[in-house]
Amino acid sequence: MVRYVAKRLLLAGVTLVGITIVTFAVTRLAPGDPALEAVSRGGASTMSAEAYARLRTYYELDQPVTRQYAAWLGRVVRLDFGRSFHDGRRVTDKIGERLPATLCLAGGAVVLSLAVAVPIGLASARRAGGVFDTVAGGILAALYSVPRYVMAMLLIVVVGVHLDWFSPYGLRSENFEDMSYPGKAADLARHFALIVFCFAYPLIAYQARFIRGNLLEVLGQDYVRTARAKGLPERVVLHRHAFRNTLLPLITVVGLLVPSALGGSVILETMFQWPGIGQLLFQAMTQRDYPVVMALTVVAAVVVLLCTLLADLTYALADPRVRYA
Amino acid sequence: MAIGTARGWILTCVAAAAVWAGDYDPTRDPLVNPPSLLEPPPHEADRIAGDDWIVRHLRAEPATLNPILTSSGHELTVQELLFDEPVVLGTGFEWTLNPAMAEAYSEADDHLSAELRLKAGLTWQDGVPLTAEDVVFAWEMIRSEHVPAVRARAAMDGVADCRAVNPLTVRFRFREALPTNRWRIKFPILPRHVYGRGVSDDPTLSRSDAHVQANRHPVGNGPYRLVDWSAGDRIVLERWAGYAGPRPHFARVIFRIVPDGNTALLMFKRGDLDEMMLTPQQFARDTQDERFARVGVKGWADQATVYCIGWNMDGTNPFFGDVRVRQAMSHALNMPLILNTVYDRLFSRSRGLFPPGSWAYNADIPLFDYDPKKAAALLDAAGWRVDAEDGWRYRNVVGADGTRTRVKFSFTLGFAQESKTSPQVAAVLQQDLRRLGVDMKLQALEYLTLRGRVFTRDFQAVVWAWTAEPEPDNAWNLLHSAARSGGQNFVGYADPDVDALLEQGRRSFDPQVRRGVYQALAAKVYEDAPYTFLINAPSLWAFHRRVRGVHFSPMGPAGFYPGARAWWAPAGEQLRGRP
Repeated sequence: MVRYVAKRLLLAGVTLVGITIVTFAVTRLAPGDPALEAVSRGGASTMSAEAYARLRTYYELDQPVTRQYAAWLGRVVRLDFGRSFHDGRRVTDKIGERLPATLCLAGGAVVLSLAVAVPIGLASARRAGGVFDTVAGGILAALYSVPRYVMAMLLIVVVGVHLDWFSPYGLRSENFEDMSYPGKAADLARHFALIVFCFAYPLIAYQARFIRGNLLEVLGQDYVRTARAKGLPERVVLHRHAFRNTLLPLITVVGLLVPSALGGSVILETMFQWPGIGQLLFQAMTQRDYPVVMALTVVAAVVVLLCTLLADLTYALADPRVRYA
Repeated sequence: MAIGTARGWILTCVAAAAVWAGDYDPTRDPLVNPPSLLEPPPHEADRIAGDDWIVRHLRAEPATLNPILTSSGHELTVQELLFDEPVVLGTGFEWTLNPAMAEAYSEADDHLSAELRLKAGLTWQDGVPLTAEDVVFAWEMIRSEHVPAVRARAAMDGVADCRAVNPLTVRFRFREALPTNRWRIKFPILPRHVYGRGVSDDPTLSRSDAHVQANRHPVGNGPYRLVDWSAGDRIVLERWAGYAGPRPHFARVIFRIVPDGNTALLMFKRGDLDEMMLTPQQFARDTQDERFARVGVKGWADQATVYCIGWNMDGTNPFFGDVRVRQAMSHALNMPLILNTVYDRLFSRSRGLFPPGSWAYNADIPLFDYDPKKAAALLDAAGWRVDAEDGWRYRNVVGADGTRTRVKFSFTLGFAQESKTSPQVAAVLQQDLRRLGVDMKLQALEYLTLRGRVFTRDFQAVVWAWTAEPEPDNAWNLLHSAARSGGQNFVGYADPDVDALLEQGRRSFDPQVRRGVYQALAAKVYEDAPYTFLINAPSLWAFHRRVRGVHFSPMGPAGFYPGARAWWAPAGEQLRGRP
């Protein structure tokens, strides 16, 4: 087990370095650079080539790319992600202040999706091929095939702007600080609802079908027949005997959902004006803010690699029969 | 090639769609420039809602609020409410002493030195007195080679020395006796007690934790102070009780950071925003619904932004060095069609370098008429003859080594892919040029990439824009032959007469002479056509119905004195704020 973990960690490290090299190269290959961005921001008719050269030195862009990468890697090993080209703040501060908003989103989406998907999955499996299963399956398949940004646009325009049932933009209202506690909770909920739903609906569809499929497989097993033969109520058979055994693959799927949720946040956070790390990544890319882009890449890569590893390990913990050589 | 052709067709279709859709007339739109929007603040204070908040749109997150480091429009929008400067722009672009800060300005008879006297009793927002030392400190920081103060340094270039004579008086010494020297002292000031101590640790003013903090939560001296900055979300300013000038009417100004313009418009329609800049498309079409009419009105006015097509004549192409070719291009451009359709009758046609509203504006410049026959004749005269076989124009070009090669008139026009209108303008021109036997390829580039190409002179023709500065002397940097390298004379224009006019305008102290010089310059440059001037971009804004007191300067509704400080809402129509 220890050898397995060590091997996986080593592989993860190599993968991580590979990812950073590719990202570093891609950001530098993209046309334009932060000095140009800074010098052309004002559009004043007075800027000069000298100012541009000075800014390139300021951002250390006059060094060879390999040396820039080596310097960056040297700092990252010491957990120093440097300062943003955009505003000079520490990259870790910039990410840290935005992380809660994104984690709330990812967490909220996972909880919501499980809360909806598990009952639907159970009910569908209980009467597979029945009316509920067919209708729910159809609706879920339809939902799953709608891209998130289309759903987001639809919800924003119809539910947010025209019906005005929810606030689709940002975290809170202007006078949030003057509200009572229930008022604050309601305000947050009004802002939270649409974006969390957009995050969650493909997960609901995916998980519900996943649970149903696994349950059906398990329901055909001998021990389920035995449980039924013992005369246990169908509810107990389904919940205690069958469902528990489908938890394993579900854990893996949920573990892999977290990184995909972070990835999906770039478009949704930008559309919903949600001040999370997805929006930060989008801004950093348009501003050619290399240190922020690099740090977020590293963070995302680490999260993906860790979640994959954790999913595998939890699998082993949850099922004593699974052991890694 | 096939891709290029396909793209050309797509762009042509876009242009055709615009022609079909061009039926908007802003003078018939009841929401445009209603009298209420322009109504100045009344003298009776009880007619004004004193506790209302206004939510304004910010299209990007400021990198800094340190006034000597800011460079973008969105940063200046916030900064101008936090920091007051001794010299400001007036409502009509004129040099003005800020009545809240400055007592007097006097220039010596030889125009080589000047004194600026500050008002007594001024303080920073933390209570520390504001003195001449703060002005001197700002000047030192702006000219420091370590500080990336791009905008501020360009503005104060020409000030040789700056000293505090006494706590309230600053003396400036100028490098040369120029009529524009008074503009050189229009630069922001910095609190010395906040930044002074950290300079030795971090001479850039932008890298140490202390400086980053000070740049994000600045100690200002303006009518508002910063109370909250939530990254990626909003910046909240509150009226500062200690401000020496007239009290602004809104108790809070909240800037919502919304990079996407379509999102911002939806937010405006929801009532989440009270003010935003509109694109022509939004102004003419996306604001015609009942939802917008319920909450908003629109402001439309001339602005100092000039759009043009720049022709690179630095010798890297065989086309645009010849004035007849550039004039032919100008005659081939169907401006009437473009104004009515692409620009929805919202834009006025440009008469060259200076926008209407500038004292250097020349209203008598004869415009290039749309005349393909004249364009063909000019091209013929320039040696570009139509080949009877394939219909394109060719010319024999003599190379540096004396060899003659037959060159086809085929070039590339670059424009920013973010622009909604430039591809349509380009497509209209492309069609007309094709009929004339000139092959123009279109290249849409991301703005930053385009900027890089222009900056390194790596282009043949480009759709370009600049915001004219109040002082016409700034044309020097665009047109003088010495500005071809290092300056902004990207097109490589060099004309001895133009150089002479620029010198004369720069040195003369007689306003009448200067006006004549710059009007002559504008006429000469228009005719010479290093740029084909297209349009003056207008100010296009949406405001919540209750907002009044908006004045449109050549900079738009803000960016001058008093600008946004004069906005108000009538008592009884308060929308936000504490109950």
